[in-house]
Amino acid sequence: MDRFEVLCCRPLPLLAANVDTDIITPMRRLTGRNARPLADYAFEAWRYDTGDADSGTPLPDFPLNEPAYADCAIMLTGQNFGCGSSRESAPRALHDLGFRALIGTSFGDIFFNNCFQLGLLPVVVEQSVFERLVETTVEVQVDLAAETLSWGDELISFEVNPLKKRCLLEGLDTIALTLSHESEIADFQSADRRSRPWVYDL
Amino acid sequence: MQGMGKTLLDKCWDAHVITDLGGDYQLLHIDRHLLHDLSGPPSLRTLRRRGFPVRNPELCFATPDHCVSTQADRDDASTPSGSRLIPMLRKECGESGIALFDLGSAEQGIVHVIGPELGLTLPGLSIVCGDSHTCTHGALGALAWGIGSSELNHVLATQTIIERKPKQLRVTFSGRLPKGVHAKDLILHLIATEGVELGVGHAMEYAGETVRAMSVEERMTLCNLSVELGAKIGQVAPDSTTFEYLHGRRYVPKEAAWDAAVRFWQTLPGDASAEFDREVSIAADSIAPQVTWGTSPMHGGAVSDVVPDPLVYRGGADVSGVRAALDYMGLKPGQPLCGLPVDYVFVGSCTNSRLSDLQAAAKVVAGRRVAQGVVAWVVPGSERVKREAELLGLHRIFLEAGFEWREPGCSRCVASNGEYVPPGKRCLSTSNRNFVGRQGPRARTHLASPVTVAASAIAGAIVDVREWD
Repeated sequence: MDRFEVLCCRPLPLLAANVDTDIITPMRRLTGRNARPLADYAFEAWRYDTGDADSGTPLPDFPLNEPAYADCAIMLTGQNFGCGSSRESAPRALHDLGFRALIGTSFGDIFFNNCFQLGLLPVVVEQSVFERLVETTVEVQVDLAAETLSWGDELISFEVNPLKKRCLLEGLDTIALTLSHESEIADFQSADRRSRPWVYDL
Repeated sequence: MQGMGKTLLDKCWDAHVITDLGGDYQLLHIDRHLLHDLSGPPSLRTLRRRGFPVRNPELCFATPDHCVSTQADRDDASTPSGSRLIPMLRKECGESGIALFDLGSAEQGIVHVIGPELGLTLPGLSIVCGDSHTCTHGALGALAWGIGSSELNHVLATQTIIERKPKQLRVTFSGRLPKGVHAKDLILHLIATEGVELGVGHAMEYAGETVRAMSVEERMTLCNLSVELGAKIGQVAPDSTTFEYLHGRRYVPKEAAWDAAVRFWQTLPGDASAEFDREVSIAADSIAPQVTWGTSPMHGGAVSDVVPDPLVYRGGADVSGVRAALDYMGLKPGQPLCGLPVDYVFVGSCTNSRLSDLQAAAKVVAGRRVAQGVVAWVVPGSERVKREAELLGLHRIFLEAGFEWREPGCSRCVASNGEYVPPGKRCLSTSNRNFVGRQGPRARTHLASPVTVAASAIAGAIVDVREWD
């Protein structure tokens, strides 16, 4: 996983409510052989005139097709973004498109965890902060180390779990971290086996 | 937030904490890891290539369901995705020592149907699976939730997961379900009235006399749609109904071990003094059969309602979203839902493919014919459901009516096996998601109960089963 750097750009707005992971990465692009990289199929039902990345033409007013956002790393997301299926292809496609931070008022719970695993930071902000972000036309800075968002005269703090933060900043793999607790896992299992033998005696 | 007492979730959660990891995250033990053909094989292969062994293969169980064909005489090669992923699942499970309920075996089926059926799902167990509908297992009082593929790798390598305890929300249902109204209607009603964000950041507990009177299979339908409320976890406290359901199943403890387990399980229901972060109460006795009209599970209501005006729906809170949904669905504000012609019907999925679902559907189908031009499928949730249904002669009822009686799998719920609803076609489905493109590109999905779906197949249009003789 890449180390998370300070981000600075005009954020891309994708403000629809309850965007589900089926819209972000349709199932048929996860099971078949694709002509293009996964990121090209992200949001294809909304992004191309035919709803199909292979046959369609990009719709000019869909934000992902706007040249102004070509190098964008920050997305403003509508409420409950990433609800639905647990598929990790959804945050992966967003990462492949160049996004490193998503800012919204709420995220799907499974999607929220998946983002961290891929080096994508989901930032939860208050509705009033979100509305000011949507209105701004200047660049926004996301500083994970400082846990701040800043743009114009605004400086907003956000919270992120210290473990998740460390993993993002250092590009750490959580499997290695957890295996450092191996003796505690083994101790837990041997004690638990005595109190709940039916868990283990299969 | 919690008072002196502990909730069901508190008790389940606290029993699995290995250590605190700083902030609000903890390292939790995972008692059962269920794998399927879509998310399982790539993770097992990734892990092997990275040099990590599966830490506790004896606690992992796999079955192919997402990519399997549901046609008769199927094999791995019957679907393009299956031809690649099912042999890979078989090979990786073999190398890791993970038990596989393979295609063609007597146990194969949708992972959320076979878990409880085999007794792999038990009260108080922590259960994860690379599938968001893992919340289904909470119907037996398990702590169960869906995870992504990186978390899946982590569980395989460590038999643990890094998680934070969610907030807690109890929904209390009172009263008896009216005629023609089922568990599916109850949960669709909750989603339609409270919205798909109700449970974000929360674990749900479903309680009250209505739930206590439900079978375990009905409770599974309820818990299955928790994730459609935004909650990863949905639970029902275990009781004598749960224990009767489990007794004698394959992986359930036997004899003295059973007695000890039941004594433990009886301690799991929440204490009377336990407090929840949020509480919602629903009167079940005034609920109508439900059907969705849009592209979110919250876009729905009573089957007797009309399609809403986007300017009026929820006070105009999402005008552009609702307009887009109606455009996708080919519907106009004010249009009645009853009488809307359907092209396809689907009885199946981890929501509604168990024996009691098929029995309820067969009851309205018996002696009748599917309307001309309607493609009607019944896809049993597992080989066991299929066998039990055939012993009762349900397959003959469906076949004589003009339904296809198919082999077990996820099928037309998610179409990862290529079993699509064609573009522009309208499908009434017992599944869980009506998202854009879910059943195939431009497919139009309406969610409803097995009884509403079955009756509508006969009528060729959406019907109100309360008016069905």
